[in-house]
Amino acid sequence: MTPDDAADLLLRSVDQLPPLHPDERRSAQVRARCRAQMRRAPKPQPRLGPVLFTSLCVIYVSALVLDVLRLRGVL
Amino acid sequence: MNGMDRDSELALVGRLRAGDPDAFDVVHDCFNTRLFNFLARLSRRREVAEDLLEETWLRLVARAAHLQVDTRLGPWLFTVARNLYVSYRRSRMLEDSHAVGLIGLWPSGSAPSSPFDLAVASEAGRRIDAAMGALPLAYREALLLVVVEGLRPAEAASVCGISPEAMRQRLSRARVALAASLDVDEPALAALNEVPT
Repeated sequence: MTPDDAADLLLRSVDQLPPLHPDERRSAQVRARCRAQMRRAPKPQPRLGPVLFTSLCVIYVSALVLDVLRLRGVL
Repeated sequence: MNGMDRDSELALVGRLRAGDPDAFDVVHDCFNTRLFNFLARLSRRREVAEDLLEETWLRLVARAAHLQVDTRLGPWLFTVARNLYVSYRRSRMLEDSHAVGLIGLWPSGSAPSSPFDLAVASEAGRRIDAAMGALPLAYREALLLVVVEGLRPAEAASVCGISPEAMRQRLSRARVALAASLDVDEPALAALNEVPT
């Protein structure tokens, strides 16, 4: 066996360790619990904060412009 | 993600973000055994691995809506699992050396064909598993992520929070340490340093 073969064999032996399996009953319980939580979780809503903030800014600036125009006698 | 192309993975992430329980099932099927293997061989305790596995899935559910659209599920899940184990280890001040050889990790898998095969496979497997268990945690997680789980070194580096170069060095040292632990002969040990990562 060449050194390369030995190194290769070592890595393959690690790669081929038999799989360990979690407890099936517990896995099923966890899956069911997670599914239930996902169903209960509020679905992502469109974010209203930025829309509200922008609307208020527009109203404020409009009111400001109207006041200025009124003071100058334009309106 | 093993067995799934990138587009399918991105679609799955989108469904998780939207709170689709069926998408969770797909991810669970793909990763449950892999995560358990990783945690069991990291912690060397079956019951700890089971607890941390459950917590990993609960974290995914809790954060599903906030996943980035381009999340890679494998590295994300292994990062969560690894961080949970690190927190657990810190909280318990658990020393690796206390756990080596304690557990009945060995079970299932593909059954060898004869009692002789069983004995040989079991003996070799136990020896490698014990050698893995005796490695320092940093080396063990590097080998588990790259050699066993098939993550790319860069992905494994991200899971462990280190640079890809540091991961390559860690892998190289892990291989040497494992070879020494398994009593691989000197020429083979020299060759291990040359194995590309």
